[in-house]
Amino acid sequence: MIDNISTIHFLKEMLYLIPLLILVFSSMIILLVDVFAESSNKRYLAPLTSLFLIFSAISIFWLYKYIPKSGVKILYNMVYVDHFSLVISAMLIIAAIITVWISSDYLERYGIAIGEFYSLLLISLTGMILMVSTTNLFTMFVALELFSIPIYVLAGFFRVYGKSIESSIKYFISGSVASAIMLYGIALFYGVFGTVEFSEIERHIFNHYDSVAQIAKTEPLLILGTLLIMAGFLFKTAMIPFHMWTPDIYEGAPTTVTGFMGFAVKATSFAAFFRVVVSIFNTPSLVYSENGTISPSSWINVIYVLIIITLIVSNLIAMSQRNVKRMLAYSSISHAAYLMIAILTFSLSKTKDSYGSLLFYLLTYLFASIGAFAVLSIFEKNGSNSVTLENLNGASKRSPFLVASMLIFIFSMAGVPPFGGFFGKFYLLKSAFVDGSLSTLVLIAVITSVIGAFYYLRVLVFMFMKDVESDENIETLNVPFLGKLAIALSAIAVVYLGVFPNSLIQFMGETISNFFIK
Amino acid sequence: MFKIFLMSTTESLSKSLDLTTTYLPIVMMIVVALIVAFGMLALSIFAGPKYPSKAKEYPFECGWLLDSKDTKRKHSIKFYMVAIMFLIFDLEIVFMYPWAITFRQIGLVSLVEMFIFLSILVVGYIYVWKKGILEWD
Repeated sequence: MIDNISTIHFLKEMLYLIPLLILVFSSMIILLVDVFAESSNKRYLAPLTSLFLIFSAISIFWLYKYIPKSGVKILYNMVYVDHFSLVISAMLIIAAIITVWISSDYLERYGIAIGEFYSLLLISLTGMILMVSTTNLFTMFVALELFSIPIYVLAGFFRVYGKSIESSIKYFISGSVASAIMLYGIALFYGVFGTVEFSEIERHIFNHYDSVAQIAKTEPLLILGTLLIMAGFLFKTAMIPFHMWTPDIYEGAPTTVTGFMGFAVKATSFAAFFRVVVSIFNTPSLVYSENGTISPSSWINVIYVLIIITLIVSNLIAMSQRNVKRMLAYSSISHAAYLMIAILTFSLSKTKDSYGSLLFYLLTYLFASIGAFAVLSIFEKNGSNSVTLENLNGASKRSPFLVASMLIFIFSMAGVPPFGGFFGKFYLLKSAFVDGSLSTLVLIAVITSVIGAFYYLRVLVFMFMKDVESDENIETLNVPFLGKLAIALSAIAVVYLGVFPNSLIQFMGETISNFFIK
Repeated sequence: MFKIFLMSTTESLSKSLDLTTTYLPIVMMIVVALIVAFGMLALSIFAGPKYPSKAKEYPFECGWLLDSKDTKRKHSIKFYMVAIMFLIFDLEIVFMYPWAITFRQIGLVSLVEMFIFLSILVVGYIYVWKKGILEWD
């Protein structure tokens, strides 16, 4: 009965899952520790959680050296671990560590159950890592739900505030509808091909169809399935017109959670979408018509139009926001459009220049966005769970450290030269421009990023140039140690990415080029 | 031509016949279930003794009595807690059925996997217990 070979094989497969296993078990351990520990000892939960996260990160670095460049398929082809997934996982874990550090004091201030918070964060992180390390549509869907549901709960963690509950319910309902739409698309793919494995779907499309027109004639459900799966991803990445949930949810959710989901949900969805694009959508017969030009009914054109709309609308709406969290929500929508440009460039041009830009942009966005939300979480007035521009009046006197780091984050997001965000945008737009067919898009992106500079810099105007009317409000802010550490490290990372971008962008490019090793 | 038509019709006929024979037991089971269920209801309606009282004429509800006017009444959160817990542990059992049936084919590894799954749920159970959700008061 005991099959030695299969047992050893099973254990070997578990080796590739170590980062995930650490996260799963630590989430349970945190939950149990929280229940059994005395309430005075609960402040050790944040260091404990970050310790587990660091273990998981170390195991990812170790795995990176251990696995072959072409990646490994494990658990009956359900999970696929490769360099791309490990790089994204490392970014997600960094995001989680920063979130844990800034949350520990934040949660204490609001008197919120801590153990559940960290546990849910870890479970959500597990789902995210699983989602980026699979080439199976169904595992991808399960992972999508696994990371979404804890995020819905985390968004409603301030259960005494109506806005938090509202954001949770809104996110839950709209998110489930989006998941259902995506599942419908997956079902259509399964109906057409009888498989949910990326490579097999690609093979079928490649072998049986020549052009978009032919697919539309013989198998229209395939086009519909493509659009439905894309709609699911567009919702999760908050592209216009699937963005309606973003401002309300970003505003209502606890600020540290907003920072986490602003980066992590977006990065995960983009990474998974990137995989789908590389493996399935980029098949020539889904993009080109018979004479070799891009077909008018291809998914590329849908994305192209949506990027233009997203760039213009999100930046214009963001200008009229007084609430900084809402403003950053719209700014995150516009960042989604930039990331979409990277994906589009990747599918249209075959030069290696475009490879690294998506990952590098994600990396700069990670530190700038989570850092900005971390600063806001400290500036937030107690009991309001929101920050208006007026709340930031005279901030430079209350805490020079926070304002200086906010300056770095804001400059990076606006794309001012010495910071990471500039080079993220630069590489991304450069590779899109070199290709030629996207130069209109690049032009619009540059113009809208100038518009974007207005609302980004306005935050700094309120922080530096406006004073508080009455003197009673001026009190120096006490920044907790872990929060200070997280913010300082993020600021240093943003500066580092701006000063020494070359080696990292090369590294990211190599990671992506591993996709083409067969 | 006609022969081919005839052949194809007989073929489809035999196919449909085949379908009938495979699904006949299920149809029979449904019919029998309906007869038993409605038969018992009919028996109790026609042959059973009837002593109507005010309490009996209340609409049947589980857990609390329905108020006729006030639909926005808040109910204790304990009901939802119990419902959610029931859902989780019920699903656990449902998951174990196919596992038990295919256990011989998948072997020892599946036993370990199932115990991992169960221990994850046990963690949830301990959490619920320590949080005091199992105590009604």
